[in-house]
Amino acid sequence: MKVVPDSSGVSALDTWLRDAGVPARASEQAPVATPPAANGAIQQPRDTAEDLLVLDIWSGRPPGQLRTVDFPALPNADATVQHWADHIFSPLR
Amino acid sequence: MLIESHLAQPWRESAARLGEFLDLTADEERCLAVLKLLCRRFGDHGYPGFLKLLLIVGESGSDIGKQRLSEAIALGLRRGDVPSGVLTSWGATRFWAAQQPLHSGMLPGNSMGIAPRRQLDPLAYLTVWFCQRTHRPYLTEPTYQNCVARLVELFNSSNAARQLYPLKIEADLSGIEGAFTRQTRQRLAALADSWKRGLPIDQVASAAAQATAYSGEP
Repeated sequence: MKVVPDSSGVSALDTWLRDAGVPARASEQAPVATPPAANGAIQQPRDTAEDLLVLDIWSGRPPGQLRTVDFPALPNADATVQHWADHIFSPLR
Repeated sequence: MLIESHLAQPWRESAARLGEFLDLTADEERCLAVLKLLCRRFGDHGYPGFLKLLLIVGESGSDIGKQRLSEAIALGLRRGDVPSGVLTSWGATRFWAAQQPLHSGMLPGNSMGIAPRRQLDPLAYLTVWFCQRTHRPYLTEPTYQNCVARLVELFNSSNAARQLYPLKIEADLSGIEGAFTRQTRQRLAALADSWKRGLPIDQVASAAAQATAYSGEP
């Protein structure tokens, strides 16, 4: 694990997905990674967004058991798509 | 590990909510509408977060959720309206790398002062991120191969997505001259060809990752 969460109220989104072109605290903590050999590219900081892609979200739970997650009441069956998108996205704010 | 658990919890919760929505919603139009809105919530630099949610759903035990998500993606493929992310096109990277305000003098005369950017579907986004110079640091090969395998497996949950997605990739390769480097085109072509031929998922991802030893752009 290379990224350390910011305890000052930074959202899950900002922890991983800030502007890739702008240096920030978490990316400064990440080690320099070797880019794909096939690219022949120069070394560069590892993208924190890549760390997100490989993050193990199950944390000791049986993989695939999303149903064990507790969250507030679901939107009604007739909720708007906007409402659902907000509901799904809100834990990441 | 406590830190990992802390970092993972919001993503697990968000994916669980998406899973519940998919379980409850058989209407593919509605599923696609929510996916597109959700994708927009992540903003220009947040598309990897949207991909993470797709990957988590792909790992989940909900076959119906995976199928409905993939059916919605197939609907988007038919309409040319798949939830997509933005990367700079390969000729524009210098504008982002400079980390300074853009002005029209830095750009070709017809560029309107905006760095050229491309809207990319999930598999094209990963491939461009992996092997083209963009505003993001390169994606590493193990992550690229792993994510391609997991997304192809997810999209195989829908017959429509399994059939349409490789055709969409091939159509993009023949129809958008200059959008991709030669290396990207080779990888996407290998991905589409092996997927269409029904090769095992690991071989599809491997074909994309190892399509070329060519180094350099374009």
